[in-house]
Amino acid sequence: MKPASFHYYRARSLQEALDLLSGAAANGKLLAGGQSLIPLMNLRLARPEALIDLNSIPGLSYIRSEGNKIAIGALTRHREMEFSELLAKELPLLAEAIPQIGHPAIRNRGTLGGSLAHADPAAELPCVLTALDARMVAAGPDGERVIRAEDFFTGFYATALADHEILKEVRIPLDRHPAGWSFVEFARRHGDFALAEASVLLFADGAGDRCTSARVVIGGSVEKPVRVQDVEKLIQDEISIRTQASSLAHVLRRVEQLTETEIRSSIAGRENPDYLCHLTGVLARRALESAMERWRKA
Amino acid sequence: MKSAQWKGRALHPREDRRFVTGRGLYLPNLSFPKMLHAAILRSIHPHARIVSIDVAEALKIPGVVCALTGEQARALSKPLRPLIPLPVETPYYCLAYEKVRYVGEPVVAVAAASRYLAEDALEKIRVEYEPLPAVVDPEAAMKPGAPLLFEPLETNILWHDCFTYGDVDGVFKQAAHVFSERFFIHRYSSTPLETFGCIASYDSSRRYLTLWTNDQRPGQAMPILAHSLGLFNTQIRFITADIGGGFGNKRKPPYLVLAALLSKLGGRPVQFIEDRRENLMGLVHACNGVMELEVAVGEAGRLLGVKVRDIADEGLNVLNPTVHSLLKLGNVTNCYEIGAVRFEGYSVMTNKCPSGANRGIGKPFMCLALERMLDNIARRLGRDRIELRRQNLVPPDKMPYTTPTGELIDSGNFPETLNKLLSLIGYESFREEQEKARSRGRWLGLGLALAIEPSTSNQSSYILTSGRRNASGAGEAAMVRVESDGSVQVVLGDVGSGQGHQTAAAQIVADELGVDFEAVQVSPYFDSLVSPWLYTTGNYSNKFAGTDVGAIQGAAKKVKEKLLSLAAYLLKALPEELELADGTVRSKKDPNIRKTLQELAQVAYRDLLLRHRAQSGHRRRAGPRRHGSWDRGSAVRGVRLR
Amino acid sequence: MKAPDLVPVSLEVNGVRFEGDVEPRKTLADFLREELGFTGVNLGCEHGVCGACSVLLDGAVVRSCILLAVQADGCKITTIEGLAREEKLHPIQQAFLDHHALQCGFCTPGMVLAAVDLLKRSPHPTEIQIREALSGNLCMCTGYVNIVRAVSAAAERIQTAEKP
Repeated sequence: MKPASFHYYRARSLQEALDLLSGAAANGKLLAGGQSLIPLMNLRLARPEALIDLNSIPGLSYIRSEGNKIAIGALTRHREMEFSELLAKELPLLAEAIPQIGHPAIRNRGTLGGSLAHADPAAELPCVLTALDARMVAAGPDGERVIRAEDFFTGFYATALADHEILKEVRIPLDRHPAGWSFVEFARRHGDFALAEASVLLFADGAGDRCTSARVVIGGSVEKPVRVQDVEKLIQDEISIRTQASSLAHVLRRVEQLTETEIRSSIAGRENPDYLCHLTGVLARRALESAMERWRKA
Repeated sequence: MKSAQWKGRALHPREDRRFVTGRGLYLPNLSFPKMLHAAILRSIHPHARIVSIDVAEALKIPGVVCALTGEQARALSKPLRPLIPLPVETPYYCLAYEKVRYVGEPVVAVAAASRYLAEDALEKIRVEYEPLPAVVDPEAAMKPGAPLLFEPLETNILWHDCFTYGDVDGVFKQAAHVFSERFFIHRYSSTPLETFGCIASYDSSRRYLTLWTNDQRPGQAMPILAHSLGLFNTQIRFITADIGGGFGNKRKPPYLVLAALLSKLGGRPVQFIEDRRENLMGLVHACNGVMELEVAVGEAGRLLGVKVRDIADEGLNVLNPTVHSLLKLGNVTNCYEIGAVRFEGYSVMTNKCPSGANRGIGKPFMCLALERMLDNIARRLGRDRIELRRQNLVPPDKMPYTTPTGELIDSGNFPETLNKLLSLIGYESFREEQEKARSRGRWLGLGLALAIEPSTSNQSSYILTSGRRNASGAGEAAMVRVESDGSVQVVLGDVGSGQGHQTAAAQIVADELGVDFEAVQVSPYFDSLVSPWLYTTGNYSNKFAGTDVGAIQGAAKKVKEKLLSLAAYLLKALPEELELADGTVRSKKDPNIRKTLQELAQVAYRDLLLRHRAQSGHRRRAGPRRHGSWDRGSAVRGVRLR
Repeated sequence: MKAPDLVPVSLEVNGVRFEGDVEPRKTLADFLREELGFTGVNLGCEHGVCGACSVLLDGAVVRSCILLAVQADGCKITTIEGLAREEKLHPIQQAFLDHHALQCGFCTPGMVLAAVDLLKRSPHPTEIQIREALSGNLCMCTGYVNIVRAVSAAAERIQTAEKP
């Protein structure tokens, strides 16, 4: 299990990386944390002609508060996000998901940008950042453009990034602080990729007792993060902080069923679709339960 | 007091110090100048005829030294010798010849200056296959017309036999109830963290092969290797050291042959280390299989007899099939008193990777089937599953107990063991806990199975399958030597794979020779040039306590006798008046009358004439007595199981 | 495609500087094992699952089988060989001995280094934190209970030793 040969370029600036990508290393792959790419190369399932190593580019690793948003550099490692007090305070959903990425050794190397550009449907970050309505900043030969998370992930391991673009930064809006939040996943082994996962964000009105809107995003069992809008609407219509236990139980059951119905078509073609549908529904329900609990406690 | 000074103490395994500091003597850590690295191209088909193989492009890569095909392997080696007699010779070589028979079967091997280059070479090899129908279900493989793995055998059934013990027909006729059930088990395999590996260095000038490996059963691998390569054992030096986990399946003679042939072709040492993908694909598995079980039960719930029809799916295991079946036979009545047994077994080949030893070898399936059956019987008879078991356990007053198939259970209080188990798991209060959990939406269950785990293998399967007594009994070998400075060297046949054998051996020898634990050095190597060994030598079958300990102690005793006789001569005493303690041989009455081991060793190593006098029978106060050679004692201990 | 050029690499391993040219595809694990002789870096899976090849890279535990040697340029690396000083074991190594936290020993270097990383960040880890920190390291001889005990004991020992 040794990688095939490739040419290696160590980029010293984003511009140099962009130049390489549209020039000398046009058939190359970008190397960030390498925690998914190098295993694929060791197995020779991936055999790029060239690697452009981004790790020596200064100024791509940061977590900053910028008014009504948080900006995170693409080379920021999972570990730095895991221990960021700013993220823990402002983006608790993200903070909850990060420790569930792989194991400490993976988080010490893996990067935000690498994970998103790799777009493994079973990874945590695509699901969470879609729920957070994040914006991806892509740098290209002709300048930068901003892509909404919902448009960024286009399928299994596929993104809207063009061939010669590099993901540079992720911006996460802070205009509304969630009243409740939760990210849950199910993996066969601790630290493994998730079979299914669910992110839930609940937003409340000024008085803080009625749910004005919700975001529910499913990952893992589907080929790219999927917002389940019928479920979001159901929550918005039916849930308030005073919802009685019996009617809440009823809503939770419906959330489970509705999630199953909504994602069934996305799951078709996967192994064990019935199981995956069921599992995903259960996770959506559990995520909502735990988000409600946080709301009540707050 | 001195007799149990070191045994019974909980010591840190002395092996651990090298492991925690990263200095384990694992095979992959060995390297030799100019060593080549092997990689193997494996079959992508479960069953196919090999039409052509073209390695020309691979050999053009700078640094790629040689390639080996099945055709060449056939020219350079004999088929790997099966451990059971087969009616015709099976052309089973280290590489697929003419046909591939499972996904992952080695087809071409290359040796190159690095594993990176060797893998590059594999990508340039062209193999043309003509796919054949495959059979992957053992029952389908038994049927007439099934695709055949080896056409000259005219069947996929490698072995079939039926054994009857006791009045089986009688008890089934008298039985109040007869229950039957069909069971399936999947394949499984334990995966040691260190994969299999070897380094072969063949010196063609003296036709001599030196082989380092982490194969866990040298005693069996060596003769297979020698036979296949057409060498005498004396032309092979076989060395193992620390093994990074074994679990039974780190036993792969074909790969040893393969590395040896590559070294012969390449003229340099060749290292082959299985990567994890190869390990998962081609590692020997435990057999999957089907078992039909019938149990005769008396009016009051007594188990009277069992009938078993067992079909073991061996995959492409022509080396040592039948073992999974026959270990079931050895364990068929588990811990119960059942008077009559009929066991019909089949070993069947399919287009799957070879089966072999793997944690338990057949015993888990036997236990699963019988214990599941007992639950079913209890349910159908309206009996409590614990009580039904308790009623049928071999009672303590019948110990030692011989099972109908001939196994001797030497001791045990099974009902008491069961009681202890139930109290430890809080069986009585479990129902409450279960109810509580269920009311909260959690479903708890409690399964119960009893098992006997026999240790040490006694080779009976060879006799049963061949009808010949070509191997029998269980044993291991060890050597103990006092060095010229009085320190003690121990060499084991079974160096272990993390169980702490080297520590335990030092404890045993220290006590036997009355020396300090630290004065006893135990070699971490098995080296066929210096280690005593037997066919049964190796690290498997939980055998350390059963056989290895006896061998170590036996060897130490022989050295002890020699020390006593030499000291007796020098101290003008009788051996029985002396004892070994504190690194000396001394008078039991007056500890000041003594010789240190170093003093005795000085005589033994340097003063050969005095040693000769002492040994040649001059018992100074008694008549002459003969003793064996001085400097080496080795012993073989057998444990009788049947 | 012409053969890729060798890339100069300069790094510090266990306090000693090494410089050399390396093929870009060479993994850090192979580089440490084959070129520098640090064979305590055990290879168990070569695709970042088992953790046997763990090393500390600038103090953080990483898997050297899924890092390229060229990526370690300018870094400080600690392998298991760099933990003990002469005869004196690191407290975690000692605790592994004391608590019989190993059998075949193949996973041990990775376990110990993952624990070093943990105790640096969390000097008083809970059992759950220890289990989480070691969750990327597989032991096939199944000695996890004693491994967790050893790390816990090592944490206590380090704390006691550091008290004035």
